[in-house]
Amino acid sequence: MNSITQIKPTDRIKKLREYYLNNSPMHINESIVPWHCHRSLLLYSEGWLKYKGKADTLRLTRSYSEKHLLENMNPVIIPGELIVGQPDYSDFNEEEQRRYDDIISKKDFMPIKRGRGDHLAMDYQLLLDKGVDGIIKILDEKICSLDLDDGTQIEKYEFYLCARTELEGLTALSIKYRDEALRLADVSEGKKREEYLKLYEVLSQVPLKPARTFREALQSIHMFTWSLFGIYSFGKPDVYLLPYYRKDIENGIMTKEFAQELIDSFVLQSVPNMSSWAAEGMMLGGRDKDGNKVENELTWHFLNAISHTHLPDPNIGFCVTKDTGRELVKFAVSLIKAGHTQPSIWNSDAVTESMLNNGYDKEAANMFTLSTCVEITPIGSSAVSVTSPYINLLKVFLDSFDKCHDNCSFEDIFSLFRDEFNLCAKKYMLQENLWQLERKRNSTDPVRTSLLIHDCIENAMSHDSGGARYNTLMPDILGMQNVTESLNCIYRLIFEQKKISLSKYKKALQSNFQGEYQSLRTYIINRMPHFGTSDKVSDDIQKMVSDMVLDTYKDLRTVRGAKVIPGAFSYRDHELHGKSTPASPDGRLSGAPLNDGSCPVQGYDDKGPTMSLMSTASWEPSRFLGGTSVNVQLNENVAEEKILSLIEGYLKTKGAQLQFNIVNAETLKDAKMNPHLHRDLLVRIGGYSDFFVKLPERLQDEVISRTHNVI
Amino acid sequence: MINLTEGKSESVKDKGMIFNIQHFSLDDGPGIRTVVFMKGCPLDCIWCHNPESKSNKIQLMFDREKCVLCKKCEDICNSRCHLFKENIHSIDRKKCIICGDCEKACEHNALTLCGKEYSSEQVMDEIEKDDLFFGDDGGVTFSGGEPFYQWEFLLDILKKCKQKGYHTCVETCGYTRSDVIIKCAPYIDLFLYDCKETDSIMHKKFTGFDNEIILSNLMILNSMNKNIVLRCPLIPGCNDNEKHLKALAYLAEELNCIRSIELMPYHPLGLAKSEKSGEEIKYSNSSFIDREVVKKCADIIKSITDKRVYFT
Repeated sequence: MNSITQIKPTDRIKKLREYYLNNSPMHINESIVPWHCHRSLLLYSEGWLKYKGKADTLRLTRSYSEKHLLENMNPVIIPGELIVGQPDYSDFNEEEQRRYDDIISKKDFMPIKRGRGDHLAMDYQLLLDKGVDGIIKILDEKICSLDLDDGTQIEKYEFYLCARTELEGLTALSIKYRDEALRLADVSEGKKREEYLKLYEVLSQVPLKPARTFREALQSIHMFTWSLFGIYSFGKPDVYLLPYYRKDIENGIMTKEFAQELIDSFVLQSVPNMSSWAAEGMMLGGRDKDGNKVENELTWHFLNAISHTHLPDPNIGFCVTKDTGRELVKFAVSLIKAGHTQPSIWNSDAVTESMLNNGYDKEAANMFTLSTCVEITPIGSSAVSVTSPYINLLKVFLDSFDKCHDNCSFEDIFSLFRDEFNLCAKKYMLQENLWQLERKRNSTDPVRTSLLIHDCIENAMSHDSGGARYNTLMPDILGMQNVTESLNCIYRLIFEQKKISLSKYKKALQSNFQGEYQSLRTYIINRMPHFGTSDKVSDDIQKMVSDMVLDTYKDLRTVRGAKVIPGAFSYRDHELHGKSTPASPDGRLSGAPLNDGSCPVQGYDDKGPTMSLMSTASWEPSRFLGGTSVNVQLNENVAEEKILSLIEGYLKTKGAQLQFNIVNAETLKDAKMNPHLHRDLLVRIGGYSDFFVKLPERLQDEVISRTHNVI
Repeated sequence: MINLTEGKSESVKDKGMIFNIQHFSLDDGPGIRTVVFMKGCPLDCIWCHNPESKSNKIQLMFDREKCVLCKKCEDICNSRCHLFKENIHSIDRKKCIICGDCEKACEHNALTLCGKEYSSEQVMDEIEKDDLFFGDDGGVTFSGGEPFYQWEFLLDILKKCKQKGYHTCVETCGYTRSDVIIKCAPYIDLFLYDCKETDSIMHKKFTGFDNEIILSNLMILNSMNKNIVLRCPLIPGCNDNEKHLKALAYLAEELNCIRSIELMPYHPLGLAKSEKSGEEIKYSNSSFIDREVVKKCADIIKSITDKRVYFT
């Protein structure tokens, strides 16, 4: 295995990385549809205007617009690329600009997306086995088998027709890419010409026909996925790509070194295809559907790509089971230690157990993946709706605390909070369900996605309409640890120490801890035992709060009859939601960020990472399948064995996910002052990674404010 | 009569005086460790970097930098220890009865009590919180102060740790009764054993006592075949001379039990602590040692012994 980790990035990979980062897309703040580039928005909109009212149903209009977009995109091939396919970011010419201005002025015509789409993990096997042509054939057979004289079949007919229409668009796009490769070969000489001819050969095969080689398999799934313009997880590539890899190595048509270069190229494509609001993801290691350990050459290759590419995307998770080889875990630790912030570590068996408890079958529970951030979903069988919506639990708590008075007991305070949250959760659920109803009627995700989700083809129904096997809705709870810390302070200061009355506490909050209340805040920060220090009282409160959240959702069901399982991570929203949240009893000032991800309040877990992790483990985060992110910030001088011990310790708990920032506070502060010197500095935010210097200032400060757990 | 240990009074035995329990310590033995800092030390090293650990009594620590002159301590103190003159806060330590009232009143953590009585169960509760993270090589380290100064309490916890299967490590100056060493050694996996000065007269000059007991205990541990890391503070102007360093190397060569030598370069962080606890400063060097100098010292030792020599 070590022979794989010895492989170094080639010049091609270094140059491509540099090129992509220097020409990285700026996503446009378009509230209608989050397109990756102006040109895609323009083309989709033109399609919409062209077919609106002409196509027989609204759903068909969407698919025709998709087709119009795909058919009219320009192929983009960057010199040196081994895996191709990305949006055309070049500037508009005059004529295009005129069309764009015209479209923007008519944006009211555009379809509105409801609820959170994409975030799916497709099962690429059908695409790899049959190719787009083969899938179209299957759809044709399905259409022919329908009795269209029987009107009850018409919904199925619409689904197959929509999917087929979109695949026609994908076919056109693929052919354009193939022809572009040939054109480039014609104008090139020598080695370059050979490379383009090879690319032409690959693109002549995939994605239209079945993939025969490892390279074709990578190219096929990339072409299918990037042209969806959304947020998708590649699932477990070290499972489904392995037969292609082994066959090519055995037949001697590919070296390990070239395989690594292909994987690096594939991973690098996340730069032009994703901007910082989005993410791609994948999961390595863990178990296959039968429960066998996954640990093979590709696991090593994909992990190795982390050090070759050093990027925030794709978000690479690494599942560790009881029997995962120690050498592999050690290699993952070496990547973390080197400051790549990847991979995130996943407690495979604890998550599987939680999924089984929540009604997933064994196969799905063994083969889970992150759905790009930290949301947990089975692969290829789920139309999960993640972060639907983000709920600011601290705000809910503050609203309930406002109703409390001096005669309230601690139990009264908690019960008012429970009632308030119950109302709030149900209010949001009503809205989510109406949105899901709208999506059921006019599914807004591209319908071709459904072709790779079980059992949409069999059910002749898109995943948006309920065709998938699993349809979990996942609201996401923000600020849970702020609530715990607030209750901890209230319990100790009002009831235990009787240091302050409830009404006075409320006044302190209203004053934002200013004037005479400044000293109360200082006392809270310096002298209170906090959640995150393995303190029994606050650990118990956190368990109470997390149980209450899960209980609230236990019996709720979605439009599709599916379960509601919350998450408790934050993406970047702890900063956003904190802005509009007034001061809280935990000493947090008005407008300050909420706690990061699923971690204790920033700076309060000051007894080191072991105590912080034990507090976190005490509320069993793996129950929150909607995703948890536990961030450990360590100094650069911490030895790898010690990081390994931290990981191995946490994996014995019911924690789900663990991610690391290995960086000194001084480095972060310097990066804030001199961004040009730290362009490559990666940090972990609530569930994903990002370049530190690209973050807004308040989020930079939030990262700096987290505890540095080294003395 | 030399006071080697705290004595055998029954009342002290069940409780120990601890001044800190540090989780996730990375520098006091292998792996991730919980370090129990025990208060009280028989030696009086002039350079002590943990001066608040010398006395086995609870002490009031005052951090001038954190003080905002709010005078809440003055209001609450019945003994009138806290004096404020021209915006300078001073403490009359003779009057202080260590009641802890001012600590509770100080919101800024400028006043804190150093030292707390723990039962062995309480110490075990804290250690067990780290249980999952000890892994293959981590465990518990007893430091101080001098852990053997409270040897009965230490032995009690050591036995409990071994019952749990924890790796145990004791950081000691070696200045204790030989029977104490012999009784405790079976429960100790690794000694971080100080050798501050090989010349007995100089040892007495720097620490108040000669080093014969310390060296004789080291021989006993050698005969018991224990694992020892020799920890040698490197104090400019005191023991950074060739004679001592060579003697260290010969000692390491002579004794099989010594696995490695760790040089611990002087750092001036103890000075601030002396000020906080009101201890007299006997060695007021405020600079760090140049790493090149430390490297040269290490090279002197390495020229004589093949055993591992390292420093942080």
